Amino acid sequence: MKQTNLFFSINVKRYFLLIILIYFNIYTHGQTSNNNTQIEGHIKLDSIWNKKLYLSHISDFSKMYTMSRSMIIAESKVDSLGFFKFRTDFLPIENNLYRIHVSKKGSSEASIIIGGKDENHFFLIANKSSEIKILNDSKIFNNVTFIRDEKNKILSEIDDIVRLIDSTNFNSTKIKSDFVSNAFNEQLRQIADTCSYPLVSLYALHKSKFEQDIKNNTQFYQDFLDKQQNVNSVYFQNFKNKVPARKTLSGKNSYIVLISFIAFGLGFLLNTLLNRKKREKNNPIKTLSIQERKVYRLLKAGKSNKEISEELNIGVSTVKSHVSNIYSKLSVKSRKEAINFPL
Amino acid sequence: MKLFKFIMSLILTLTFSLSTLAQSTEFKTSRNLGFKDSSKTQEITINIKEKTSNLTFEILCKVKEGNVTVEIYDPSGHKQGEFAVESIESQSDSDGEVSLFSAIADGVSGEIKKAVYEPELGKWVVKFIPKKATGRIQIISYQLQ
Repeated sequence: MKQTNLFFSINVKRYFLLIILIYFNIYTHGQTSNNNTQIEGHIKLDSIWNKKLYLSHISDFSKMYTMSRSMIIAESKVDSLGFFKFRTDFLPIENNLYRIHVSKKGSSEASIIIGGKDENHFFLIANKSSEIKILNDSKIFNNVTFIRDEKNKILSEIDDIVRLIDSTNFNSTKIKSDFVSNAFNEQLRQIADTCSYPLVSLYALHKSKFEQDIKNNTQFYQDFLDKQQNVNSVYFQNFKNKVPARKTLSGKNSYIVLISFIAFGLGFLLNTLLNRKKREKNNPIKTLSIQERKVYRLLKAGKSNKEISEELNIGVSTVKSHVSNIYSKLSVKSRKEAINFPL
Repeated sequence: MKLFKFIMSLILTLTFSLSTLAQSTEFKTSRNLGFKDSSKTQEITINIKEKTSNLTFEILCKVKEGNVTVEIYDPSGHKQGEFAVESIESQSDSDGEVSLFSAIADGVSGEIKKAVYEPELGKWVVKFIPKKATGRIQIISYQLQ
């Protein structure tokens, strides 16, 4: 029993010493190469893998799972202790998305394996002045830890969430996995919404399968793009093309609005004219002829038939005829009623 | 007594193994396609008609020339996985002929493993979209019932 404990204790010490050595090496590398910006780290590769890593430039998120020799921009040997390094001084000044992959012995060096324990790649964000330290002591190649680099740490957290979604899909019923996937995708959208690194935000959205959500949640993606409108990057330009634009009064829509306004105006005008005609029909004064109106105006002023005939320079009998017509049109029987007729 | 215990444990082990085998049945389908300078999109459908506990896809594509995109769709039409391989090289044999099934170690390869627990009933589709591509693709699906 004592022997077992001793053996266990020695193994733990050895492991502990190895970890210390790895960290020490990584930090020492970092300190001695302060002016030499690079992606470096330590990785554990078992016998199925070639001892070489490849760095590929991912120019668009739709190419994350595309493998082409033309995408490979650098390679690094993995030394006997498991250390590797890529120079970054030839990379663009702006942050870009990159992929590091390893190939299996006997297969093409340009190979991508997605899913399963043999997944052979991981993503990172880097630029010309990046100093990125990577550590992987797991047997699974893509289970890496980023040291010191904040944006890649978040990237790694995003990958952890996606792994959780995948494992739920594998172990749970459809209803449960849908429920959990929705919750985790919402978490990814929250990271995208709050993260201060634009490219990391976009990475989170791409990992949340935004294509399935965009129809029902368009406002979120439009707001996201508004927030990132100052970011001048091809990645965002390509993403923007996938998000429906906000509805503006332009093109076809403006014609529709213009036609609606004209139709409304015409309707209003027609309605006003019809109402006026109706009002005229209901008001008997409007039915009087011009001469009858002149007679009625003087009659209302209290003038006699003779005075009206003199003023209008017409015969008294003509005045009498007009007055009779006026009585008839106004449906009155006396001069008094005609005078008091409401206008 | 020892013999009795041995026999009992043997019987129990056998019973357990047989019952496990009886409970789960695995269906495996495999398609192996070679293509030469092809741009013809092909769809391979896996129809899940009854409740299945597990559906696994293993797709391996090696391309010597041209581009190939492989996409997996669930019965609702949602993309559940994809990869693309592009090869711009054109390597010929000594007589100038490109051998279809020669070793494609120099080409480009893509592989996807996708496992779904209790997959949605209906037609799962693997879409194979080559563009002037030469190579081969192997599509294997496992259904565990």
